[in-house]
Amino acid sequence: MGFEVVITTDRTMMSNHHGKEFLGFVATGPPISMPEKLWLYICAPKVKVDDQGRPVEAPYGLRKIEAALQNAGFNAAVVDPDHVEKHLDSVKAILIGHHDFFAYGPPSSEWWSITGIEPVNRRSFIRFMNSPAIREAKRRGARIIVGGPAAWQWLYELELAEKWGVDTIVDGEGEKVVVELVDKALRGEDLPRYVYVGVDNVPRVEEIPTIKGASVNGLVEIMRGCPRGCRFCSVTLRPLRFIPLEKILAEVEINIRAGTRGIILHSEDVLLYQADGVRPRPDPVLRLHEEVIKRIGEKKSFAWAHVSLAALKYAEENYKLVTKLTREIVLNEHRRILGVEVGIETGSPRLAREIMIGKSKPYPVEMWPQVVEDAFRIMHENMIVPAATVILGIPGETSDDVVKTVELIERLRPYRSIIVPMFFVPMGALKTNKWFLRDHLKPEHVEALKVMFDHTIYWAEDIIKLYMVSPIHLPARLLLRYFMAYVKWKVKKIESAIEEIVKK
Amino acid sequence: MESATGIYRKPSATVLVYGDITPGVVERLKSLLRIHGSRGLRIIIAPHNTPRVLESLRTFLQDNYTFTVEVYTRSTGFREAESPDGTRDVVAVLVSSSELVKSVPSSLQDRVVVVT
Repeated sequence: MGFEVVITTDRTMMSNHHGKEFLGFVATGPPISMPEKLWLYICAPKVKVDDQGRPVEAPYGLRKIEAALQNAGFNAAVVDPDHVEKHLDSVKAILIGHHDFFAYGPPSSEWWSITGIEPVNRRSFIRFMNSPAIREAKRRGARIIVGGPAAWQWLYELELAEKWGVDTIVDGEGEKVVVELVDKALRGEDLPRYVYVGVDNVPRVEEIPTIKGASVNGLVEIMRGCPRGCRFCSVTLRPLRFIPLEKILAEVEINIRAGTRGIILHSEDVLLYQADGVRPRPDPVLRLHEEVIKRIGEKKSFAWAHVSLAALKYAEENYKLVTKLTREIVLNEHRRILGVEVGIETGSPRLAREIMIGKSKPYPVEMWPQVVEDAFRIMHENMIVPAATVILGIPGETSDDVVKTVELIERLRPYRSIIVPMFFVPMGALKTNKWFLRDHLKPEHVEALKVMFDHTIYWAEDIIKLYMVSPIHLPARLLLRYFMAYVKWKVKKIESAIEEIVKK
Repeated sequence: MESATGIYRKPSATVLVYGDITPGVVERLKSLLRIHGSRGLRIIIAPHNTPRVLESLRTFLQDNYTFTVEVYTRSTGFREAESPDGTRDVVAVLVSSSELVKSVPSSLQDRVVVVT
């Protein structure tokens, strides 16, 4: 018997990225220097499925929607995109989630703008929506509901929404509204074209369902929302909720039982778990890590999704918390590094005051560059490898702001890290502003791009060695090395061309 | 339907829009959202039964990150039976041209605002 409600997405999302979450970001780029199939092999290999096409690992957001619907009694499941056809006789609603449906988010839009070539994630999603299974399901009357963090992008692709027969776009936390929408869809009632889930309809912490199946690379949410209030970010618009430890551990165990290679703690700021405002509290953070590591054992991988640089500095300087976590709990001969994403965004205190006054807290915003430097030193000393983002083209940015960013990046050279430039994308409280595109580049932006590229290339080889140690990663590792060599060559070649564009 | 996840709180204020989504209609919707947003706002647009109608509402929708908003489209006019409260939850009927006023059901004529 098939499912009435199929929850799915395209291949770039439905993959465990060889067990290396960071490789998933490769899908945000256009397929340059190699065939798209090889590119997809690096970033989005197929996942194992059961005889009904249910993936062993699936994106965490889809797992939450699946849990909410199953708890409400629906015959619903996450299904791999290659196996939707198995449910054509039964499916009445197809729910599709994505982080970046049309590559308008960061960093996809940036690679697209620079190269002029459509990114792989967008190509893959469009292919999926045009696939015979989705078209046939629609022809048979299935309702299509789309949502997730990139739902806003559909407001720029309404012709495609019409062409593909998308019934509803859902923007916001979906666990409660999806029950209502699917109920309507199955009864054949009218669906709204668009729903924004307001603060009154986000689930309280006790209403957030526990996932029923494993998530991609064992990602488990430990808190939702963020207290820092950065104006370019959409997460900060959500109320802050801490997931209770027992619920986190239940999801860790679900993942371990399913055989995921490790666990990623997901939060905008892992060290703020059960914090006192923006000041980390060591006890809950230590306990969380002790309990998770106890369950995953010595050999499985472990990572943080995000941490803020200010919390990291504060936690180390006041409690030696970072040292305790890495040296006493997390790292060992099998886990030699702890990967995490961090946000630098700017090196200018003036601009930081305008757009992210809470990001440096509890330190004053004037100290932001120092906070960044100190945090990078602490991470380097403790084998934490950050993938850091810097935003170029933030509304109100001046040349002097960009120069300060360049100077900061140069001071970060001694610290093992990847630094990725992001062109500004209108999101969060700045979502009615304009995209920053290649045509908006000024000479100082080109300098910033060069400095970040040099920094990342300088550390990349060392990081790949530490990050992809298993022999099973050898093919992907070789392809990445080839790609890096190609990019170095290509960048050298086009450097003067970019400068010409800027001069014009 | 009740679920362990909690019950979705449906919007309890409805605005009907007849005709085109003009800048004036969008401005009026902004005011109505400020006034009634805490109840959740359902917007029903007629006669437009395509997702493309959302294009004219994009900025309005993007400006809101607080309140629950649902947008429906109808190829024909508003049916009183589709609202649980009949027409009681209709807080305004925005009409983009005076010729369309006659399309509005008689029970809603007292809430019609012509916005060009």
